[in-house]
Amino acid sequence: MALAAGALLAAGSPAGAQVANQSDVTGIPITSSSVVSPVFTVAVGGAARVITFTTPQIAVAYQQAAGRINAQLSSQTFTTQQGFRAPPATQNLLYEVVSGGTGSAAASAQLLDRLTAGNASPQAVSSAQAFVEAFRGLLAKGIDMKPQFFNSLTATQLANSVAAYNAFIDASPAAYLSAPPPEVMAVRGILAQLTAH
Amino acid sequence: MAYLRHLDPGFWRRRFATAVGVLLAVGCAGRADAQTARAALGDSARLDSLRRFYRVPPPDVQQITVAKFLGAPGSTIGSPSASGAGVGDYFFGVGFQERTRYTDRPDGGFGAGAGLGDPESGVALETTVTSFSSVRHAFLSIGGFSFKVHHRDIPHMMLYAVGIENALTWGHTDGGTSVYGTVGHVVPLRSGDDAAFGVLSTSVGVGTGRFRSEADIRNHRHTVGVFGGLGLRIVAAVSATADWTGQDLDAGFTFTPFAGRGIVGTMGVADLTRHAGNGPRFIMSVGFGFNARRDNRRLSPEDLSAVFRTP
Repeated sequence: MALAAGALLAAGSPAGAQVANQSDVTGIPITSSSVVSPVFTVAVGGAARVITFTTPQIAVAYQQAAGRINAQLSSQTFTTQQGFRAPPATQNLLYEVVSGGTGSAAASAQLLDRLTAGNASPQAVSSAQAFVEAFRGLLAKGIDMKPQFFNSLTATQLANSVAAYNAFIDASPAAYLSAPPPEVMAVRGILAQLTAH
Repeated sequence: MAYLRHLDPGFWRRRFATAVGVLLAVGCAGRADAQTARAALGDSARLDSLRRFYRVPPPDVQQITVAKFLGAPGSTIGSPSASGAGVGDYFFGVGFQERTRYTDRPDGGFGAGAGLGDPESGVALETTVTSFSSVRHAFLSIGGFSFKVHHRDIPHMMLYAVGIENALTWGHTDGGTSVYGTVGHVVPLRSGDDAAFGVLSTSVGVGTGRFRSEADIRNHRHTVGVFGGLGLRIVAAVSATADWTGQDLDAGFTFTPFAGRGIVGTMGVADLTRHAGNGPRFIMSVGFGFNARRDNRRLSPEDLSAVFRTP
């Protein structure tokens, strides 16, 4: 930078012909971005660290997927990418949880029971609890996203759901995963579709 | 004794039988261990396979830093700032003087520019085209191209720039060409979001051309002038700036009325100390800057309440 400055100064001609009163350069200069200097400079103060969807387009795709899955669960027509269709009772249970309505608390407790039946190691139960807590109301939150905002709550809830679900899978034994309840297959299908952008 | 032992046929029979027994025993044990290991490996591989099947890839989210206030206040009014446009940055602005030096005639101009390169990881080049003609002469009939190479050192809040103002001109411009180098430093004075009197911007530079004193210009002395300024954020949307242009003092206020929107207005007075010209003059500008690649999403109050929980 110093070299460049030196070279430029050396190359710079003496002042150009000052033929008049320098009226072109004695106001606010419009010869550089100085006219908007607060825009292209370092940002200070008021910064926050937030989790958000990587791009606005991904947020929109997520919102659309949330709406589609919510409608399919509501009509018990949700099918995973592998073609698995959970029984209507399972889809109804999951709909109650992810729609976050008044029945979601009882549905969440029921989902936790289903996930931990035959898989009751402390780590699996703890992960399942964290998952159900994060999963509750997930689609409702996604549908309500406002594209002009970062929607950190929704992005974080999705990240929490996936992280807790994967921790639950990692804490589950082979016997459980060989023949899991349909809720596991359906949850996997829902999360896979929500994260496929 | 050793010699006698080797001659004893029974010795060798016994040694052979012992060796075979050991080998058989080792062989059997090895097979059993291998079977156990294979079985264990099989179970482990199966469990890994099952877990891989059921796991879900992480969502396409990322943690980012969002600046709620757009940027530090400017430290210049009449001289060039050490900040500049980078890749994807575009800006335009209009400037107005209530009267030019030694006249009673108002004057205006228009400038627009863009950046190339990333000033934070390296250097960026800003190019500006200016029309010094507005009303009395046809738009763009008098104008020039200006260039600035600049760098932002974010960790140390330093800004560096070298530039050439009106490197290429056309029409009857009276400003001439000026080469300069300038360094800026941003100093947070108070913590807290958008704190009043919370940020001070400073800059100092040297340059030829218009940055020399008015006397040097009149007498055609090939000197180098010094310029620099201070900008203090008063509240989030208003900053006060004082700027020695190399010829005289300019001072005024800069307004960013809509946080994050890139609209900047400046009003001030030029030639305050009567070092140059024939007395103070009212000056103002309005500009708009934006980045075509910038994420235009904003923080909502709800955004700040999100908490990621590590399982």
